[in-house]
Amino acid sequence: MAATIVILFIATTAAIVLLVGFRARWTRSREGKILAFIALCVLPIAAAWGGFSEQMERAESTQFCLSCHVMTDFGRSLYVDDPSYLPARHFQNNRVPRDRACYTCHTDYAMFGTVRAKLRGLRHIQVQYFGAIPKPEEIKLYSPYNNRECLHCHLGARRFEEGSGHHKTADLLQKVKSGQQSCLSSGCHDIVHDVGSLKDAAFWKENK
Amino acid sequence: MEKPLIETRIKWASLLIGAGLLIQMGTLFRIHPLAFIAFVVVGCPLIGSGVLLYLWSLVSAKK
Repeated sequence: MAATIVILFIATTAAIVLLVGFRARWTRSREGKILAFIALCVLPIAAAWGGFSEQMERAESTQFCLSCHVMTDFGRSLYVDDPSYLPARHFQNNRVPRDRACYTCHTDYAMFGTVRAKLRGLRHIQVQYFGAIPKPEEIKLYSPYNNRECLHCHLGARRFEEGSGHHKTADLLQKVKSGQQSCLSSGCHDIVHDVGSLKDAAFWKENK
Repeated sequence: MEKPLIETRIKWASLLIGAGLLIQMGTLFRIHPLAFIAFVVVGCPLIGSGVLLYLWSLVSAKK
């Protein structure tokens, strides 16, 4: 719906811009000058801003992330029929919005996190079209996964706070919360996308 | 009768802006990284240069 409005706004703006351009003599009058300023300055900037916002929103969608061929296996890993696959468990149980699954876990929940995620995305695009594309199983995170991204949703949740697995030792929960112990690489939730083993995996068939 | 220079510049500015807007509109029909790149690398500079040309035509116009 929002996209339709943005497209209509851009189309209308383009029509007004071209009309004013081809009827430039209108700008001889005072009213024409005001019209030209709105048509050739205010409206195009507003339309471009609307389009940019829409593009940025789309860049957060799962469809956008998976549109590069190298990401196909990462998309498939969301359908693995095995709850030990952490992304699959989150995706299949709606713990992350399915249409923004990649972005939900792979953005930084910190100041400028969104900007950093977008800049990383631009680097991915550069590698996709101008660089050497790595094999899916060779793709790694730039830095170890930060517990902060998990805690953004799980902190305060009863299952997280009271779950027996998080109280195996007296200070485990505190270590996880402070980032001293990683959620993903401490042997607890360490099966993530694991795209190298997908050929042997069973897949969940969603009933639509 | 010859067109005043400002009107010629306004026409060119509108063509640049119009082309940029049409390209931006086209990119919104598809969700793909290339559409994003076309929007940012082609559409935005066209609109920016058109707006700047228009503003320049205003400040450089002879009274």
